[in-house]
Amino acid sequence: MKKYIISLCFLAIILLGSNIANQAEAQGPPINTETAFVTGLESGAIRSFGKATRQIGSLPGGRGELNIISIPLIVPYELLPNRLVVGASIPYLDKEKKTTINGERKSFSDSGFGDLTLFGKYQFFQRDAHLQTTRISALGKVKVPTGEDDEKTGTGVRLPASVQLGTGSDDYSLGLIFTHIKKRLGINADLIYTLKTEANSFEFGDTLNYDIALGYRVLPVVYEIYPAKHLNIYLEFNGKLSQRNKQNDKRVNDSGRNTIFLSPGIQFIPARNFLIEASFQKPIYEDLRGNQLDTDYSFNIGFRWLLF
Amino acid sequence: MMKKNFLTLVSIIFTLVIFIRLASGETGKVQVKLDGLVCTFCAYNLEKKLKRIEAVEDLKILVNAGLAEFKIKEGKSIDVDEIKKAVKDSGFTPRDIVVTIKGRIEEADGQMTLRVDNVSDIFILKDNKMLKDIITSEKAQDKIVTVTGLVQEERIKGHGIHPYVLEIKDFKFE
Repeated sequence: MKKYIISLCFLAIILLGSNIANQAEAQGPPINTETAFVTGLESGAIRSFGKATRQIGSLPGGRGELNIISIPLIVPYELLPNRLVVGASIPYLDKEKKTTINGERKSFSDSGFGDLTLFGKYQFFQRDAHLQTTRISALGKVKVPTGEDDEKTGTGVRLPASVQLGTGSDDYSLGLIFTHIKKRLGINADLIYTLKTEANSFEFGDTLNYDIALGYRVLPVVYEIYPAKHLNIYLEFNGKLSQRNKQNDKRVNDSGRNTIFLSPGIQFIPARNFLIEASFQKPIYEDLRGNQLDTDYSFNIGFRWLLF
Repeated sequence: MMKKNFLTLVSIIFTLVIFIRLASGETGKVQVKLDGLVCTFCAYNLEKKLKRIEAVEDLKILVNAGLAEFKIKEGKSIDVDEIKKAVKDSGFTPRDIVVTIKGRIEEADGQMTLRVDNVSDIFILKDNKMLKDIITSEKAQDKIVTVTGLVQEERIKGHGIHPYVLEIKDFKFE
């Protein structure tokens, strides 16, 4: 795992370093926060990234660690020009959970495709002025249980829900996204509620994502003629409030959390239809209910490629 | 002697080519002022959608100026509505559209019009000082004039909202 993260960091440094050396010069979409735009990269592009998340901490009678690598593929498609986009995303997951409880070591792992998410984004407000825009969109998502949710160990023990590739449930999200860009500065914010349903007598708690991203175009200082290479930096605050899980209709005491990440990020746009980006997320606030693993960090590096 | 004549001929051809290029460069141009041009990849959409329009060539997107400008292909008509739709569909708000075109000033149905050279486009000309200057000029008779003007959507008596009303900002006789 460590090797993987070091490799990703190394790759990011090489890519970003070489780009800066090439006189990298946009205001693109934020990395961890949604954008209200339904055009450009949000309308006919593919997006993928590698995201590594680590949770670690004390558990009753011992310690535990959960490492998740997620590589989603996200494909939006413009259905109504500058109004409605629809799309799908599916992650490839690699999960590993290690626990040492009362001296007994256990390790669970699984990898493969997770659940498929279908989404739609509708822009219902747009106000433009010279070199500035304000847009508001509504977002809807449906996650369908395409990932394995009943994986067992070699000895026939069912893997913990946190290690399963899919949740087995249909989940529904609704949200609002706000974007305001003026010259080199951009602000994006979203509020997304996800309703989770029960599967295999288990139900993950509903979640509320609340994010705000500040973006700044470092280069070019003055954007004269399109296309130009761009270098953007971001500072995001990504919050996620999760309610307690339910097992057999009863609340699980050691579940539910509220985490706010501070997420600095960098984005380079070398060509008119391609960008690469990287972001590091560190929790600056975490309220855990009961005994759970603390979120240590999250790191992602990815690309978006405008095809249509 | 032979060499001198050859050099003179080359110089004349070279000067003529430059003159023709400059002359043609001044005509058949469209500038679309647009708001909200802040998203790099939306500019890609704009480029793609404008390039799909038959009449568009040599497109340039000037981000800081909030402007898309292009030349009009020889023998092709300008469809103002099509241009506006391409801008809107790309995610921007179209504002002023300024065209520079060559044509002849004519009178039709009591309206002064500009009949564009080589195509069937006709612009109804808005009554202003520039138009008066053209009409009263001795050169106006049967001469081709290059006009730069603002395309406006204006209600003209008997025509409803006509998308091809032109408010002349500048002109030059050929």
